[in-house]
Amino acid sequence: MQVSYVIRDEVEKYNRNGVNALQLDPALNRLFTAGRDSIIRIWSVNQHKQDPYIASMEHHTDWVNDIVLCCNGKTLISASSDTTVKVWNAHKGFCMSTLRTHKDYVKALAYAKDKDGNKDSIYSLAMNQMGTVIVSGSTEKVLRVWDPRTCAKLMKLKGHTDNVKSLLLNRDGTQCLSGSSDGTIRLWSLGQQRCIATYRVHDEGVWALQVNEAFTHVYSGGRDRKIYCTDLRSPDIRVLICEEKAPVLKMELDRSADPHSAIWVSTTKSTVNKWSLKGILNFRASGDYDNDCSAPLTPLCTQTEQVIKGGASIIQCHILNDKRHILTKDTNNNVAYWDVLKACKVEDLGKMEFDEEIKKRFKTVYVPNWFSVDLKTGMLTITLDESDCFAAWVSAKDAGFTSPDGSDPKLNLGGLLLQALLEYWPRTHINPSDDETELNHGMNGEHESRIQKGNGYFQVPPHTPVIFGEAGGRTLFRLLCRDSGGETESMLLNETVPQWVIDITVDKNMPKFNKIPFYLQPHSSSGAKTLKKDRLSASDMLQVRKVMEHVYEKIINLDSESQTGAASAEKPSEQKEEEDMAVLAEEKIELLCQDQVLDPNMDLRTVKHFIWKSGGDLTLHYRQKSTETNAIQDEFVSSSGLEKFSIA
Amino acid sequence: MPGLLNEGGVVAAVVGSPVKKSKLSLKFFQKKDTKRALDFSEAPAEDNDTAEPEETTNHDQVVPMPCPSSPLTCEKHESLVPFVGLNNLGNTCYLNSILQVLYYCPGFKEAIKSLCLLAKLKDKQQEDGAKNEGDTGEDTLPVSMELLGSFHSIISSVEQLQSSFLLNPEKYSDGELATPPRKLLNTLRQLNPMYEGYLQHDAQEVLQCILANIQEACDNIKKEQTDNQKDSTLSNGMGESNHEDDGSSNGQLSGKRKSDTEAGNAKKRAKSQSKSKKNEENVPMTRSKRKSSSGITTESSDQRNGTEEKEQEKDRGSTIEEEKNDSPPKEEGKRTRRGKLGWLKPSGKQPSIFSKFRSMGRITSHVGGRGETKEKSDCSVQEKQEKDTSENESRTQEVKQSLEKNKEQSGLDVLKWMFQGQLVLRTRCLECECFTERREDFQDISVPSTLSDDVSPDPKPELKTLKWAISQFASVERIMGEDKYFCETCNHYTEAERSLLFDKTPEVITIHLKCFAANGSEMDPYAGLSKVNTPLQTPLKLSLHEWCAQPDSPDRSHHYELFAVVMHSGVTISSGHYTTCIRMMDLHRTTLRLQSQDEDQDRDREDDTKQKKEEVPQTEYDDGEVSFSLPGRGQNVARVSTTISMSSKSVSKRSSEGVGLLGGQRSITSYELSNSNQTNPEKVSGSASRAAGSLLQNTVKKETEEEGVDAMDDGTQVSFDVALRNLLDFEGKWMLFDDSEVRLFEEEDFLRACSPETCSTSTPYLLFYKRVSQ
Repeated sequence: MQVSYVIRDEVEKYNRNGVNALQLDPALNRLFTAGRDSIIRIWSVNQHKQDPYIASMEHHTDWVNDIVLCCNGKTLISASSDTTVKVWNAHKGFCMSTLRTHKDYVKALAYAKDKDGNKDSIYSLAMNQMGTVIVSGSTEKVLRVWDPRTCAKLMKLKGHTDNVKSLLLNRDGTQCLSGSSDGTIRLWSLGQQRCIATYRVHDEGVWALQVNEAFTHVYSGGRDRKIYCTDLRSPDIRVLICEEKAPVLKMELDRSADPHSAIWVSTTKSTVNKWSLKGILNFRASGDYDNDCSAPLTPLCTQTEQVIKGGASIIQCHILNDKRHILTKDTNNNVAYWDVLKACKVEDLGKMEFDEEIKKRFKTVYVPNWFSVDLKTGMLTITLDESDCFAAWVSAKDAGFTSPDGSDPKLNLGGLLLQALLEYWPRTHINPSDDETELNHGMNGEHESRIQKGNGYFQVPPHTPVIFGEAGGRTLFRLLCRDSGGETESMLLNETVPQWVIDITVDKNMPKFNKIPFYLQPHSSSGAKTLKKDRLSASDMLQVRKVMEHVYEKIINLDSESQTGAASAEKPSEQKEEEDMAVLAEEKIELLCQDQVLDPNMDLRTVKHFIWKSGGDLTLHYRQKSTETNAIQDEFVSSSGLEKFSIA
Repeated sequence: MPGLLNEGGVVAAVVGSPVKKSKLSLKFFQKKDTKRALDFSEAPAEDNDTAEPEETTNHDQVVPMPCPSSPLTCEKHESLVPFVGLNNLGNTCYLNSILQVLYYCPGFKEAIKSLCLLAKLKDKQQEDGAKNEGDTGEDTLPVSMELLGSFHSIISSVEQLQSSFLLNPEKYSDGELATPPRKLLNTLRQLNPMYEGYLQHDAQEVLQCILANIQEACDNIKKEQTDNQKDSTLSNGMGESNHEDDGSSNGQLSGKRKSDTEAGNAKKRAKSQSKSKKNEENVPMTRSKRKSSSGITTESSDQRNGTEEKEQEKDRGSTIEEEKNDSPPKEEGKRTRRGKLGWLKPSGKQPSIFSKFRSMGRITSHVGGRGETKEKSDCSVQEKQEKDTSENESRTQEVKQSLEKNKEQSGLDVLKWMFQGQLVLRTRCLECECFTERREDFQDISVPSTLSDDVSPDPKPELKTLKWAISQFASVERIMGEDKYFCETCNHYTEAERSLLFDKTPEVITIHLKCFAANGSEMDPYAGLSKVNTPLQTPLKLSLHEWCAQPDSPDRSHHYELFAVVMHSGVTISSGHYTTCIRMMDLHRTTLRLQSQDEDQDRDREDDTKQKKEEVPQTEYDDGEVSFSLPGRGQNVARVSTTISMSSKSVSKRSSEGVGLLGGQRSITSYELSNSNQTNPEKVSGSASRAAGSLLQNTVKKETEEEGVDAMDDGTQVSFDVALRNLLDFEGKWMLFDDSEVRLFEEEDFLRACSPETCSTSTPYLLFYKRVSQ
């Protein structure tokens, strides 16, 4: 089980990524786009409207691969790579139900029936309007024809030499058009069970098809970014309608007029274009019926009729060394700086050299990995996994947080984040140890204020989607951060939240510190004998300064104390002494690793990662600063442990 | 498989006389003493079956006998065919079968010869080095070079024996026509102690071993050449990078600086070699031409050796060290079925493409761009080197017909050109249909011969053709379900297709039919592999078209025809018998090349045997000394040199020259024997003849000419034309090489043997297809 969340704006008005599917609702003049950013958006296609955006339908957590509008535009069905099929109220834009029958990406819909027991992935489906025939296209390169009423296999149609990515059936289900990755379009007669014609229009795979009502003209688009209209009866007559900027994923004919006036085209880029077909008849009439296919065609349109602007999607990211900030680059080459912990964008850096910026922000600090980043939706999806979620501890000061009492506690990044993500979940508000008392004495104001919500340091934006899913990627439950207080959501959370998350958010059991073993020895230049090797152990984020204190106090001072015999004279002012000690230690001695003098601010894991580098236990050497070498004698005694530094 | 009953002692004792394969042992008890009693009596068709029981009984491992039928039942008198067999030296049929294939592999013989010419110079250095450096003498380098030498010597002895037989068939009417590959076997044993003793071995492994070491020798020569060139530029102090300039300066400075002359020699070698290569392409080459070029090399090397030894050693010291690093880790005695690509080292960063087919598992790792660039950078150094040498070679060619072809074929890369192809592993995302590619070289392809569980099941197992097997090898794999492919274009886990295609196809494609399946106990890796006796339908013609990355590339055809098959009979990998079927091609070429020596050979065969016996005690000497110390053998050696010198001037008048060479003792076989008897690992056969040649050339010439006159009167002399015609009768025919025995194998019989219908234990194991030029 994994917990993920998406760093995004509250309202994502633009498609963030490619658009996999399109549906037009001619009655309401609306266009539905199924985005790879996991969002289905509703657009107004009235030309006069300034801002076409109407609403988003957000419930999927992965690419939406296909959508189908049905019931006279009342219902929309969507299929997604999150393995679910969802049924939506298309007018109001809410999710009515989720079908979880699939075990893998759901790629295609045609009022889809599940095709189980087929080991080849289905990439396309079509059903005729009468609902008598269903055709599926898959990587087995064969079209399979089914009767949806009986689920009986009717036939297999062989001919394509590659994956079949697009299918269309005529009204009565007697003819079928297929577009394949092999670059051809084929026309099949289901009655004769054979291929009637093969159209080689495209240079590369055909990914999208549309056909007019009469089944006489096919519009096709694909990897070569070109959209053609081909006369099925005389294949030589074809018109290049336009050339897109990216491979064409889907097309939707505007059927409001006959002949069709326009076609909507979606690509792997986020912008959706509408191309006019108005000139098509004239174009053809004016044209060269007899020109051969090899001659380069001039496109019918060079200007789009209407554009639904898309946003930029993140295509590259780099997790900085502090394991908290991320640099990203999007399709417009804009670089941005994000805070994973607070689930927000910190800064837009504009267009710049991505790699330069990474170098610039390099810090010599080592924090273990505790999350992973996914860019599949074009937005940042951060995933926490039980295995490493609690690996990273930082000091509050380093993280830029101040605690009320002015101390510098150690913070676990993953733990804090989980607490923040579920901060609205009522269950996290009850301190289990106080459970009984609260039940007995009821809630009063005192209690209320005493119970800490969230983590006490920061919050994540309340609109942040939180996703509980299986390790493989199947989504179990998605909700917005702020919604976890709701009754339904709260109950669902009770069912889905895994124990390791409960531990930290409800039971408030902080994970253990990571210990790091190391050896402490006098530096060879000091002339001291190498003592018996004592294996020390301390928190991996212990600062070098603390180790220096230890050396000064336990080794050098002990030594001098024993010499002078003035050991226990001034015990009382311990607090002061400790501070002095740190200053003194820094003044008098230095620590080295691999013969490199260490910065007192560095912590042990950073030393191990950036300086020690090799395997085996870290070994540190200490020596007195050169001005005072004479003061140190050979008789150092090593303390057997560093218990002092295990943090309370 | 076949082995002498008391192997160790006998073999040692019979050195010098052809050791018969053990399957004949029941019939020919006294083969040590004479060949008189020998006639070849088995009926061809039954041969494989009949061979089986005898072998297995004699084998030191107990092996079930599949079809016990006595060879004595099928006696048949058959005249010898003009092709030379190889004696079995105690279960060496695995080696013999491979040697025969390589011998008849188009262009291979010539390649070895030219490599030897290149190497000879180097050998000398090596020997010197070994003497002086002592300790370093044991490194791997000389052994691979020696393999080259032993291979060369076996080629020449086969050639000579063949021509001798052709021109005087009566002498062999009651004998056998075979030569023992003793020297080569010894070298092989040095290369890999696994081949010690008389166990049966895997023919495919020995093929890999031989090719790998010849390739290593090539690399060594290449390295030497580049080193020399470097040296010369340095010592000239002019920073000349141009080889052409180098050459001219060599001419001026020759004799003054060793490195200069060496570079000059390198150049000469390259020149002569590329020339001869070119000639080969157009017209059938005469041997004399080849010899003339060797003459040049020898002379120059001698000169140089005389004057500049010290400096050489210095050079060599460094070279050896470098090469040591490069040399592949020696194969241990371990027998692993994994070593499919023994002689090429994939860059190591990623698991070999073939790991997929070894394990038949799935590679889930993403083939990223990073790996590719790494690979690229890995090979870039090598490419540069290759470029250097090929540049050098091509520059020295005065006339270029097809620059590219010459480059590829020329000398040192000939092995790669001949046997090495390239596969490309292409992973295509089904979403965006972008693909990544990874390339890897291959020398042979191992295909399954049966439908095992872990191979994707074919719906129609009855269609078990080679084509099916290759498509198993090159099958398309889908990456889907749980293990999706991370597509960097989509930024998403997607389904993908992974296919293995031939990017470059070699001249000779070697198909290894994996017919040994591990069964049961892993304890005994030898006996644990039992054979699957369900051969595939083996086609005579093969097209790789459908598995090629660029199927329509115009420059090369992807059509192949079968020219050799190594058959295995028996039930396990550690037992059984290997035979080879080879289709005779380009025989006219062979003949012409041989005729200068043919007459030398047609002398008494009996003398030959006697001499062989005489030589037995001499095995400890190194060959140069053997040649001179033996009374009566001086002449023999002289004969060799004569052949060389004569042929060098005999470009135009081959027939008369042939007459001129008639006479005297059968010299060349003994020359070969002297070489094959020697045990000193530092010696290469070529060195003997070369040394003898340069020293005795003048003195012996007269003698031979006199003898030649005598020989004119020899009644047994068969005219060239007849001999040639005899040989050419076999053009296009299949011959069965069963150790020392060679028989005609009718194509129908051959096809039957290769087809799955015949329920024989003898099945094709290695298939060799050669490219059909368009």
